[in-house]
Amino acid sequence: MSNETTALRADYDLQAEIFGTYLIPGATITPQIKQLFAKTMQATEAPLSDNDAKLLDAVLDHPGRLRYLDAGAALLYPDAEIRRRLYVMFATLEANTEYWDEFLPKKRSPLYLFTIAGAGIRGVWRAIAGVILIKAGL
Amino acid sequence: MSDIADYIVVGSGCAGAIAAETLVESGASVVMLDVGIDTKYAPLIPDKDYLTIRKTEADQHRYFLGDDSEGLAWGKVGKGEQITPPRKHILQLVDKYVPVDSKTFFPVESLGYGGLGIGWGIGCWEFSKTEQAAAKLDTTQMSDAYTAVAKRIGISAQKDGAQEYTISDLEGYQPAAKMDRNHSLIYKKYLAKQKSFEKQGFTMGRAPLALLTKDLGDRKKYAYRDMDYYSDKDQSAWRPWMTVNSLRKKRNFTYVGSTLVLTFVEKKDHVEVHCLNTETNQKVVHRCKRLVLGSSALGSARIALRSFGKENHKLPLLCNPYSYVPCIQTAMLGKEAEKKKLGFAQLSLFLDESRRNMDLSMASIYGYQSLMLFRIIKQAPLDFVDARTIMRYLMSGIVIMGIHQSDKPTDKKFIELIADKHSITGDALKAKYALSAVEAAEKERREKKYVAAMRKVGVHAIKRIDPGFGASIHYAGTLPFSDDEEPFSLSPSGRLHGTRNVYVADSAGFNYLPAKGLTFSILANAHLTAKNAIEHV
Repeated sequence: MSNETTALRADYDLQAEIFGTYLIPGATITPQIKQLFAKTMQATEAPLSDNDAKLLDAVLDHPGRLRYLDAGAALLYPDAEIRRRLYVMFATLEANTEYWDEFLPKKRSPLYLFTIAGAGIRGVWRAIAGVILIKAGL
Repeated sequence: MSDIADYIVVGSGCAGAIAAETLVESGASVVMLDVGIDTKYAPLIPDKDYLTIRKTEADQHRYFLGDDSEGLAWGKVGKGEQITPPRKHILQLVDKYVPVDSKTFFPVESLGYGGLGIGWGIGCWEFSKTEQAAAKLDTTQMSDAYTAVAKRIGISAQKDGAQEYTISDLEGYQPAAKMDRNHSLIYKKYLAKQKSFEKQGFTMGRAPLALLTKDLGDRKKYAYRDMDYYSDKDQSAWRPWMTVNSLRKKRNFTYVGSTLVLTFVEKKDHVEVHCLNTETNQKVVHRCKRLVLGSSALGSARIALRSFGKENHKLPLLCNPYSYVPCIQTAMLGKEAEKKKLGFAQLSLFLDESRRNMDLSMASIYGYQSLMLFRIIKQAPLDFVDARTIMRYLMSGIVIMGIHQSDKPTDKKFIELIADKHSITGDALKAKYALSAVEAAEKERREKKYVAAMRKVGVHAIKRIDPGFGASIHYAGTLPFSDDEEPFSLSPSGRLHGTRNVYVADSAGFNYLPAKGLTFSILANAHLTAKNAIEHV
């Protein structure tokens, strides 16, 4: 493996770790998941726009901002590269036996509507914060 | 003359498979020419239900996402996005061998083994007599043809209030499959409000399906595994390749794959079929006494236009205008995933305001469970984490309503063959499709009426999505039936005018395209055309 390939792979492994634990807090991102993520990324690699590169760098430098940048990008740039990568990791986790219970519908009481409302409110709050961050140059 | 087959059938899709079967049953020698790309995923998919696979199968990403991530689609809704990786071979090599040049029409064609039937939703609605007459199908023989096909492929259906729109007087069908919870609830609420629906011109009923609820030969009855978008285990849902596989065991049938038919030339006592071998790119010629084209309304038109050397000659085009509407059934929210479940569309809602069983609209209602969250998560204008919480809760209640409108020929809907130096065949099909202002307004009005009607049964639309013309994957009318010996039309028997021994068995002949799915009528017409070709001898 060349140095460049090793570096690229390490970068994808880091992204897989950040995106995976963001999507499912506490998840163990196994080597198999990292490998699948890297394989998809390599197969679909395309030059990044300035905007995409900036967003991606911001997330890798400050993983804690991902929740806001994801939400902000969902409104401002729904097709942004950072969102595509999250989408790939989302699908990879969904098609993994470790995490089926995080994706399939479960029996819920009517009170669960409060959780849903909470998720909606939290999502809107994160989106506002994300839009501000993006507009302020991250 | 020994290398001259009695019949050559072009294509292994719905029309080709049924026409070939009828011809083989007559004892004639039949050669099927087909590109025939097959799936690599079938052996990987275990004989288990969807939920068990999700919980236990380490390799599931291979067929849910695809080895080359072909199941992942980012950005705008594209052509064939709904097709899952094990069915993606439907589209393979299509851009290379059968290119279409259009800014307004985006058809889905197939060079796969089994053609578009690989991913067909298996709905089997009969056209009414009025619709058959408008399409110029043989109204005296279609009923018998529907029944003959139903007995061959196995259809499950139910006599209910919508029978006049679904199975009419069909015989020889099996009992309908059990509906899932989502559909059962919708149907129960519909029956409670049936009069109110009927006042507005709506009728709901069970969708007849090419699905076994009793064993038929080697094919097994449906096992409710909810893997219908991925796998044909048990072969309970009929696909054309199953018929072709059976034919390949017969001595008077030969299947020739990797073969793209380009043109035909009628000689004094036989027909030459000029082809391209898709593996070697070599030209190959096959010979037969009679040729039966069954490679779809677009494919057969291509071959006819090339054979008569008619570039830039416009042929009519029919395609059901189509929108789909993701909806939520609120009463299903918070329900757990269903283990034993039917994945196909189970209900049809017809809008027939004039009660003529003509020019009506039809909505097919589908569940969503086995298509996975990742396919819809990107639609939510939220971060992925909160979107997952919300969409997962909504998932049990998601139903998709696919609304089809009927179609008639106009001068705004046509195809023509144009020279294309980049194409391997040297040409491309140019297509133009536009609705008139009246047609577009009527489509809009009816779709809104559907959305309002479904609210009455607690099913609420999220948004209407218009995927563009061609997305219904229902094409017809390119070589319409005509009593007159006009070029690029078919005689009532299915013979291509201007030829003595070339027949067209697919939907190219239909002069009108009802909103009901056309596949069952393609199958019945293919059977009749093959019979006509035999009788002509």
